[in-house]
Amino acid sequence: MNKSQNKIYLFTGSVQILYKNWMDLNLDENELNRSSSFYNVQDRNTFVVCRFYLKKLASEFLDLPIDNLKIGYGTNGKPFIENEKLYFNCSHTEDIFVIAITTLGEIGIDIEWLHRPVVISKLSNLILSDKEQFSLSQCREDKRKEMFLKIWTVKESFFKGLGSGLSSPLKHIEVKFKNDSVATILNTFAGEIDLENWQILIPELKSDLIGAIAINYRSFNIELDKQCLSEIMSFELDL
Amino acid sequence: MMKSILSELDQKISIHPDKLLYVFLDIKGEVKESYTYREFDLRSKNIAAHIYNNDDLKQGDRVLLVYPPGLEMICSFFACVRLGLIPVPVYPPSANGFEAAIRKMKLICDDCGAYAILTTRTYQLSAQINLGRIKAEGKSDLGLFDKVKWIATDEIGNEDPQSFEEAFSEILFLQYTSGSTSEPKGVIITHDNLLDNCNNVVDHTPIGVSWLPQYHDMGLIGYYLFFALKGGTTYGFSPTDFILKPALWLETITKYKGTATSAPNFAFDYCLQEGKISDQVLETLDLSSLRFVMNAAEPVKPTVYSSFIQKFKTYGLHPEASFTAYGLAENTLAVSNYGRAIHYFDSGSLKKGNAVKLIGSSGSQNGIALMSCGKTLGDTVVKIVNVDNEPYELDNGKVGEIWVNGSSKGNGYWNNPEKTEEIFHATMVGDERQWLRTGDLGFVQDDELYVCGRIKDMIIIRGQNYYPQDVESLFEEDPHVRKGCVSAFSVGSKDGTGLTVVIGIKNKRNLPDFEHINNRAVSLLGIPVERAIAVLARDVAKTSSGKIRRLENKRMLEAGEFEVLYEYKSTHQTKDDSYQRLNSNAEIDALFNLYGLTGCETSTLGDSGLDSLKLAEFAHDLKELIVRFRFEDLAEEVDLRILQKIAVAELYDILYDLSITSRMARFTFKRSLARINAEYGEIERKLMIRDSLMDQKADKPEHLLSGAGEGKILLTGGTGFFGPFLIKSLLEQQHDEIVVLVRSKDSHAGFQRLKEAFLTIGCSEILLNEFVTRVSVVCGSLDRRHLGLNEQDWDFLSKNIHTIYHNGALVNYLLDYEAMRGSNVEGTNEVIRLANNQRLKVLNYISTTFIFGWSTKDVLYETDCNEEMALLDFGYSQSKWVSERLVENSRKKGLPVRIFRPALISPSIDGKGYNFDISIRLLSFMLKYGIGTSANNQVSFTPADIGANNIVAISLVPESVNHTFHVTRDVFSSMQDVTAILGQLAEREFRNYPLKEFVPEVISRCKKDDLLFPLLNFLVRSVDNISSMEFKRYDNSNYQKFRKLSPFGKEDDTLEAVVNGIYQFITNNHIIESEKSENEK
Repeated sequence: MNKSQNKIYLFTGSVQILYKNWMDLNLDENELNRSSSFYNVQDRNTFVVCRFYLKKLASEFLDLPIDNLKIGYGTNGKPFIENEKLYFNCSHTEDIFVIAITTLGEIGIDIEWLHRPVVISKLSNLILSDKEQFSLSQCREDKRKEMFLKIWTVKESFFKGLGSGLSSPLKHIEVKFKNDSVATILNTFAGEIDLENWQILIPELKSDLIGAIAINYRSFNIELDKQCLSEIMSFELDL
Repeated sequence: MMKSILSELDQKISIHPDKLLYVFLDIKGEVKESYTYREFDLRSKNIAAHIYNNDDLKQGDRVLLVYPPGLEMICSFFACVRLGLIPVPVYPPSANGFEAAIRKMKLICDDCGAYAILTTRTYQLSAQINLGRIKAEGKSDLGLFDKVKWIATDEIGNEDPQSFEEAFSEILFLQYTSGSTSEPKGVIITHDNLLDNCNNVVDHTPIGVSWLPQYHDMGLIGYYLFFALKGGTTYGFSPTDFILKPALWLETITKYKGTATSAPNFAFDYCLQEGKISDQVLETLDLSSLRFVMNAAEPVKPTVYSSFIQKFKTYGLHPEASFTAYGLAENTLAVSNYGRAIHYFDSGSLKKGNAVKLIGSSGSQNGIALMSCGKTLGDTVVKIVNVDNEPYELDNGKVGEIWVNGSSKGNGYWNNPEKTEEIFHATMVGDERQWLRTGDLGFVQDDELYVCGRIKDMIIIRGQNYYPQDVESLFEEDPHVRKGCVSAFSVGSKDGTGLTVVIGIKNKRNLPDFEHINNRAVSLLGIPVERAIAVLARDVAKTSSGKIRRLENKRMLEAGEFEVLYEYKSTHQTKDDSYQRLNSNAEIDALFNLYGLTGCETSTLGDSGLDSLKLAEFAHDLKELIVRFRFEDLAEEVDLRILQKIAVAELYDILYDLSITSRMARFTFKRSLARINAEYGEIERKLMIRDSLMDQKADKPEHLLSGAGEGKILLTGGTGFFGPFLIKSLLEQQHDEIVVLVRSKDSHAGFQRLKEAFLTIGCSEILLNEFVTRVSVVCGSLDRRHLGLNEQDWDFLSKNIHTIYHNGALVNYLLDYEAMRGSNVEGTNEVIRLANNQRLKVLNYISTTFIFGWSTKDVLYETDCNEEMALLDFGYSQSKWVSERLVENSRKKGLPVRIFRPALISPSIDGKGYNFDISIRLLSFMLKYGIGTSANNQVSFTPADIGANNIVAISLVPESVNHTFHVTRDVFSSMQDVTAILGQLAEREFRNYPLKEFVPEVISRCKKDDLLFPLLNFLVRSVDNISSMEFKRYDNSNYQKFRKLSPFGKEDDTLEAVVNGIYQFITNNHIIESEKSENEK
């Protein structure tokens, strides 16, 4: 695998296509326990397949055997690889999942299908600043959901990157879209939020898939390398 | 050649290949999967072909069928039949009650010698994970994956349906009865048995509707096998969906004009319960198509039977369509059918073995109502037998054991010749035939069969059989229980039928651990003990040979004849999702159902399929619901972090308590929140401890250069509020150049940024020139490796810096530890690395009194460091605590350090600076609305210029190294003192409230455009903590001592001067307009 330093790698896949039951054999005891805590089979399978590919990819990037990888968890459950400067984050929506991996800095990613059900009226007060709420109200009705999800994915990716949980002050930051591929976050003055080092990227995904990446690294020339897992990864079953 | 059921099926396939055979629905009634006759034939042959060509199974081999509800099991069943394999349907263990169920499955697997398990891939994975969990918990490894082959039939695609050879096994399948966990019994059912029983039972081409479990005879045989052989159609859905939405049963009958349906008594009763089927649904029902509504599988309650007809005849149900039936697996399925008569019998006579019918009103008042189970079917013969000694037939009207014979009688129990002999080959005096002993008590009257009890004391709860000895043995494990003196039975109540146990204990003073036993009952048997009564062992009724007399013990209990030593009542809420919730509320149900939840899930909300957005929507609705329950204050405490971790069932219980305004509701709610917060707290604590032990090793720890004297000073956090004041003091008090770490794209932009910040504090021309001459910038970032510096800069600083003032940090009261650790913790660690690299530097660390959290100690000394990590509950205080630990650790390793802990830093005496800290926001709010607090809490405002001046001054006193200093006022004041001065300056009256009243006053006034608004929740959450710190003081002896030793040290200004500086700042920055300026306008 070509591991360039100035890149964010995005690996995408379908849970249904990629999931195989023997992937469980690669889970350690903690991960097995975690996987059995899911109520829905789909969620469980998603966890299993994401973890499987994450470990495989990390092993390739770090040139380490999978068994030597130790995955730790932050307070809010954000996983990280202990003692290694390889940063990653996962997101999934329905059957699609994406793993973002980089050496550049802490990273967060969020994706959502445009067609997913959303009740904006229940969410706006929690998630949107006053200005954003106003902007949304001025939006054409058929574009409103898309705009909301764009804002949401930016904020969610940022707080996922920070490792902060769902109680983060979402409404105290504002998203400003520079163009289709870049956005910035503004602090609406609820105290310091370390925004300066963070960069928001809007990756080009499928037409009805909305997403955002937040990375703790500032550079004009970060490359996004998107790869489809089923095309590049085929694994032998090691038993 | 014996006839095969396949010839019937094949005939139907050829007659109407495109007719619907099976349809399986989801909870909404939408079709999940379906097969026509042709499609089903193809599918089952695909599976058969695959097994034939890939798996080494041969005719007569037993194969377990372990499937979640759906049609795949039926396809596999017939695939096995085509191959001459013997399918063995079993209950699929689910995550709830997994251990008990999987052990039973293992017993069945061993008993029948299964060669393979057919299942779905998803189920296989689930079972593997749960088995792994059991093994990991130290329970035995059941080895189900080692010795038996698992075949996921749902992964079988299109195989050539002609590529296998059909084979015939006389044994159609094995039907395991819901037997004792230690004695599984597999009834051998042949093709002939099934064909005979089918012809007896099904008298039309049916359209069946069934939610009955497919591993159970009434469901599998009644609705999937029989109906296929009769050319009918079955619409099925899962038992769980019935429990969740009983209306689905009747709606499906209406929609598809079902002609036949069956259920145990509890299901009819369930539909009669209030709220289970709404009036709106009832209005849509049309049950007139039904001609076969069978109530069977457990004792029928005549009142339920009658009430059901009474209610639903309004919606088209023909009363004559309903009836009861009697059957058992050992007779394939049905023994008798079309029982409709209800009669009253004298209870005393019944107990003596005589069925005496009571006529007229005295019957209903004094007798026991029993329903007839109808007449026997086909060539089935029933005899009532006295089994006390040598069995003999009893006359009609006499009560005895029901014995059965006929073509539907099974061929015995698999691999159990003794039991087969005892149960299937029973003989009686004067009759050489071999009869089936049912174990049920009954009588025949007017040619109809009545069932009135169980010989073997079977416990039946919700249609499930439980063997009393399984329960009794659990109690007998307890050392305080006398073995052989435990009696388990079921007792009916208005809530249903519950498991009751009478326990003979050894000693009045020592009771068994009921809770523990109950938990084991749930875990191993899948049923809780509802009630347990401890009596003296000698009082438990037994036969002369020592056998427990369960019926007698039950009678004695109900008659109050026991001397009860202790009564235990279970509070156990079984979380099995096939169990009906005992407590439910329509509003809460509606909320949970909206999000696809039942309220019975033991997983957390986060793990129950709700993603972040859905969780946020749920939180919104949840708050509204709690407000509707009139607990507005509790609604405020709901946050997403809590919701992520709380179990769904726990949340439901809490809401239920709120809905009934239970006395304990508020307590339970807060206790749950506290528990979850404690869980988070524990995780954070571990992370903090781990971080406090971070590796601090420098790249080049060999100190090639001397530490003291020449070189430059490094400052972090130069562009913040306090930084410019530190720069000013450094410029004034010493002569070295100052390098400031700034985040910027280049040093020019960084310098401009720093200069702008410096100008906000006001300085003379001379000082500004000094700034331009002696201050330089290096571009980096605290949260990066090597402070984000390039190698050259890192190297330069390592060699040329002699002293570091580490002031940089994120100050935020809303973010958690995770979000703060990058800059505050890792940043400090990198500064320490730099301090140790190539040259030993002096580190002056600007900490904070917030490292003490919400400590309630009266005095906090400069030697204290909150080692116990008490009351650190927000990210800023947590990250600063860890940072200080890192600095302290480095000190122990030889790094010269000073730790400065300011309390609240206010704007300078002349109102300069750019400070929007929490104290300024609060004070400006209080000033705007004229409200204050009379709380006695002491506050310490140190003006930034004074604080910075003294920090630098002390740092230049060599003897001050390796000390900690509280940068606080020497004399404390209360908030009331502060607001009194503010009031004078602003010519404003303050109304002062006790702290507990102050907060609601703040909440009621605070608007979105107030600076305090974003921090409101933080304040509200912290008010109790603030209140408990009323008498806290910071001792600052060191600070005073070394301040005096320095020629630059400054004493505290008056409180008036300090508050004046705050006021100047507020008005200069137009946070609120001054009263004076308002008046002038």
